[in-house]
Amino acid sequence: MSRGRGMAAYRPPSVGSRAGGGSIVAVVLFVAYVLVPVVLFSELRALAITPPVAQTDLAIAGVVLAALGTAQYLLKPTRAFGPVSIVYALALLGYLDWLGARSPISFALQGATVTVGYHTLILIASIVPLLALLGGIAATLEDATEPGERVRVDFPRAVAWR
Amino acid sequence: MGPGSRVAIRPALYQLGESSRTLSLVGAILLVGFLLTAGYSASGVRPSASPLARGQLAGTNTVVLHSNLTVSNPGLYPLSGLVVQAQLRLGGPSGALVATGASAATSVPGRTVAKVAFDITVPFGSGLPTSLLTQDATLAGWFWANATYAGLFGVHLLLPENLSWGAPFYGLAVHVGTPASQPNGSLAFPVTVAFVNHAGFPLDGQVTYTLENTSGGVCGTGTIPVDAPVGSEFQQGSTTSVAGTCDPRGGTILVAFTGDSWMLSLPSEALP
Repeated sequence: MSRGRGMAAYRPPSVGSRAGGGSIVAVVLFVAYVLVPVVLFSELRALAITPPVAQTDLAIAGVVLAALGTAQYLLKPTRAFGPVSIVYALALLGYLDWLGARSPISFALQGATVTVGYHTLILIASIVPLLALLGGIAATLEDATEPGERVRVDFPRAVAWR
Repeated sequence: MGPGSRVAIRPALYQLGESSRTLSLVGAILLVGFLLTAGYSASGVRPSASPLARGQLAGTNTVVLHSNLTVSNPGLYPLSGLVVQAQLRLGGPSGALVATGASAATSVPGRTVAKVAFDITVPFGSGLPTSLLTQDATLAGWFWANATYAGLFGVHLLLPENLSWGAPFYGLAVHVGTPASQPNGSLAFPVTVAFVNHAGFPLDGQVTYTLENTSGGVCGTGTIPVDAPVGSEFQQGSTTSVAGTCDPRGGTILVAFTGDSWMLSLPSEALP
């Protein structure tokens, strides 16, 4: 495949559709990274269980991750997609490491002290950002070596058949 | 090759990237699903320790108490590698170690209730105050449970609980009465043993006693059969003949409780 032919076949989605999709992604990620964790931690506090991290820190980290995830979606038709995916995956890895470093947590329950360790879970969960990191690296390499090749497959309807 | 067929081509690098992102997304969804179900399931797990139940005498100067931890696991995931350990201390958490115990590793599958039995050994022959045999006490109990929930969460539970210790020979009184002279020149010493069984197990065996003179020489021995159910008062006497050449008065009476396969040394008492 030549670079010139690949680029000629590509036409990015409209700004409106990207903005609409980005808004949906932003809302979904905000719920996943900010709302759900904050609500869960509030529930833990209601049960007199001290969460491993402060709620404010959790919310800030969630907003950063949601912003990166949204940026990844918005930048998918561009060559910035790969690098942003890498940053997003690394941020997610750091987030998990940040949470994992606070394992185990201890709390009182009906006169007993309960300690729960979740280090193994964090290790397994790290597979998710590691796979995303691999995807980001692949996209970056692909965009560098074959510009336009990825986006033509990602957005087939945007290709002008001429 | 036209533009249409070029779109259908998916180079290895593209496939790698796309597959990684898809797997990552699927993994995240599965992980969130697992977390939510595990959290919900774990909230239903309820351990409950039963007080020291029945016990028994075992070997030499050893009392074994039986206890158990009931674990209700109504959720989806198993509680595996569950081990319960116990320590009993005298006079508070930093007091002398009285007893230890542990269960074998066991698993509690999801949607089941399991009873984890464990024995607590009280080794009276290892320097423990024998007052525990004759006086009730409050022991500081520490119960640990270690397990893995859903294969990924390490769970450690520490339950402090004060336990009432009931002495098996509560208020033990060994009374040696005034000796009566026998026609053959020997002395007949009436010996009475009295106590209340406050332990959680019956006492079935015999009390053996030895009368020693002031220099430690054995003047005579005797036995009193014992059958004291839980909570019962026991009082029984016996007479021991002692040769006139060996006078135990001012000496010591050594007492032990023995059975088929065990022996328990009781506090000795000075003879008047």
